[in-house]
Amino acid sequence: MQAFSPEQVYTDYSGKVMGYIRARVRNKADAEDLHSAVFEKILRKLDEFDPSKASLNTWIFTVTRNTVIDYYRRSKPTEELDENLSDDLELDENLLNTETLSELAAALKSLPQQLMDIIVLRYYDGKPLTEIAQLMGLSYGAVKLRHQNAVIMLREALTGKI
Amino acid sequence: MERALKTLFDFQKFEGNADLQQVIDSVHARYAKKELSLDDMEWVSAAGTPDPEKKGDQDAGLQS
Repeated sequence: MQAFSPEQVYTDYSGKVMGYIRARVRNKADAEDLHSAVFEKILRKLDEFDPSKASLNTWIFTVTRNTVIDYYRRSKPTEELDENLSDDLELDENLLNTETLSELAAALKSLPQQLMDIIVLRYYDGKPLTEIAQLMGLSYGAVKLRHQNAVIMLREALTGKI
Repeated sequence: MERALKTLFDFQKFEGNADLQQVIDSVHARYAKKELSLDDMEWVSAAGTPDPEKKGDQDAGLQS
């Protein structure tokens, strides 16, 4: 017997799915098509979803992410995929939850402001270090060094958490 | 660590965690004046000048 009602899943996740797609796909019509494609997959496979293997939230995120990856592969086969959109999730799926994101937020707040800025601009916005250097009015070498320090400090702050 | 950060920040685009979003917004606020956002760039013509008429049309469309 299906544990989740399709209507409830759509109501609960439609906004999250569209939010992610719109953050990744600028064309509104394409984004709407992808939103439909994601829910077509989710609702088709909902009966097979096994909550003992992953949370519903993580599963829907993975389906959405893979659909966006497929879109880029199909529409721009010659372009390199966004480096933040690699095929594999580079983290234990059990850590993909809102508590881990709050831990990351706390760790970021513990960094000096410039280092926090570099991490957000690099990993959330996907900016190259050269562009970050321009934005911050620093040399590339200085940003590269600070980026390394920021990653080391974050690793220490998040030890045992991720 | 860097791969984990990429994945977590990507997941944030789906999850919209309020604590992390607050950090991200504070960073963006510091650099907002230093760059045109991608949304702003959409309204810049090929010659590099703003195209308010185009934006006006689009805004009108959004309101309908």
